[in-house]
Amino acid sequence: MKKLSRYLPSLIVSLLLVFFIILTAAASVFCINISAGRLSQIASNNGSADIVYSQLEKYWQERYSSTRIPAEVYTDALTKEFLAQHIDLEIRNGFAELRNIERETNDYQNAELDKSISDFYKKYAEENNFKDDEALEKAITEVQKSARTVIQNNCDVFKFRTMSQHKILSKAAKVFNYRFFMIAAAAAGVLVLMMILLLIDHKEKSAVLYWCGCSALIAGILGTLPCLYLLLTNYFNGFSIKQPQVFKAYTVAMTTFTEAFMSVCIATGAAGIALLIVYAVVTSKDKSVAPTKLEK
Amino acid sequence: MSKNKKNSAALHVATPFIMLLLCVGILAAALVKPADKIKMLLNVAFMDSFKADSDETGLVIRPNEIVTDYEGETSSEGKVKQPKFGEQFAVLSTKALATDVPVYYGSGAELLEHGACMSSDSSVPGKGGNAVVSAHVDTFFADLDKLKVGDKVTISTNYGKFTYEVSELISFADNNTKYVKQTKDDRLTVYTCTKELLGNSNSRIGAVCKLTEKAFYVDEKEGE
Repeated sequence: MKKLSRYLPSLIVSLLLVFFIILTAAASVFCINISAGRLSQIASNNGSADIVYSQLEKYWQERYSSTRIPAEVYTDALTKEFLAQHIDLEIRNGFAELRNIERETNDYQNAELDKSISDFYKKYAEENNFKDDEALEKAITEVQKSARTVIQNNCDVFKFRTMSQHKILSKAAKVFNYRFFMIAAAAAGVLVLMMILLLIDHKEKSAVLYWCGCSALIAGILGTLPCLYLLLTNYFNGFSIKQPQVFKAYTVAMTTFTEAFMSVCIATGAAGIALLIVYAVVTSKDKSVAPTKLEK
Repeated sequence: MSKNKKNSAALHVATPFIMLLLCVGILAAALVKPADKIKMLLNVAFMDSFKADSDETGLVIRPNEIVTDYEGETSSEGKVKQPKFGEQFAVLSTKALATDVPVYYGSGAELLEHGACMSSDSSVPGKGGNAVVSAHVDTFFADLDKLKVGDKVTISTNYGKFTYEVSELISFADNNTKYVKQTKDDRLTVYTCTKELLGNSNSRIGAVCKLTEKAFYVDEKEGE
């Protein structure tokens, strides 16, 4: 910190370090949290299966006026465990597409549901003197197929299918598959910049503590403030997809990721403060250090 | 304490603030160009005015008062007000339908209980392209099959009134996107399910209407 010729390069490198630290923190949070297991955990902890069940019940009740099929025909044949399994399956398949690997068999066959629909139709046909013919069988198959599609859409709480249809998943896959490279590159960048600082301040090595401390502190502040704003204003509550299961899954996931990123940033900021304290202690103990002066 | 030592201490204290200011400046400069796009994407994804009071929420449905008897000055060019998801933003009228139909922006079973829906990937009237409106056959679009080629269909919004003329009567399978896709010409596509005695219908009927007149409200206060 003695010379302007050392101060300016150190300042510039430290500024770069701030952004690399934020990048490393973001990449770490991304790597740890964006996984099928983590999203399944979020879905399961927030009762997504219960919400999906209620939504399906509500949907079929609302559709009764136009379909004349009571909601119980469907809901009595469905269990929350079945829905929970399929929520997990949708998440795993979404990640399979992200990883460019084969999707698991997405079989929504539910013999009990199919039987319930078939029984209802046959009883209805019998009571109303309709023929039990090919047309009836076709109608039954169509309704069974439609029920499976409705269940499938409702179980896709993170909207992976929609993202896939809009080619968002294929674009995201390009980033997702390089996530470990990203974290390694960002961390390597941090190390390289620290080495450069060491080279610049090789005559006063303790100054590296100061510059790294400043960078970590600023990175911590820059990362924490937006997160605080998002959390304190309940920003994610304005999420425009209001399907309860999707809304819940996304808002909880986004809040969780924001909290995780904020925690990392707070820890980074604290590490920065610790480095500054160590620097202050080291320099104050070093009696031999001559009074600092800016030399042009 | 010598002057140099004081200067050094001041510099040590000032440096983090200088860095913070520089970082904010760099971020602001870097975000100037993509700011509009980011703002637009955030507005689409997170609608501040639709913020829920608690996280235990479903769709926020907003019925609005739509002006259908605007008598002020109009213009063929004007600004379209992008509606928000779940908001009633228009009224559809045609002689084939017994009553005026409230049109909500968005889709889903809950919204369809309140009126007709214009899905969020559809074009909004006045913006150009295909404005697609659908509703249940057992409620708001029960008489849609009575539409005839040449019939007038009007969409009134709080920013303008758009008059269309039925140019083609259509029927298509529910998985056929031919009529709901975006188009280069200004048009309105209205459709509903075909009536079935029991169960869901896989076929749709409706009409394609070409735009014949657009009248943006010049006096915005009257249109509000």
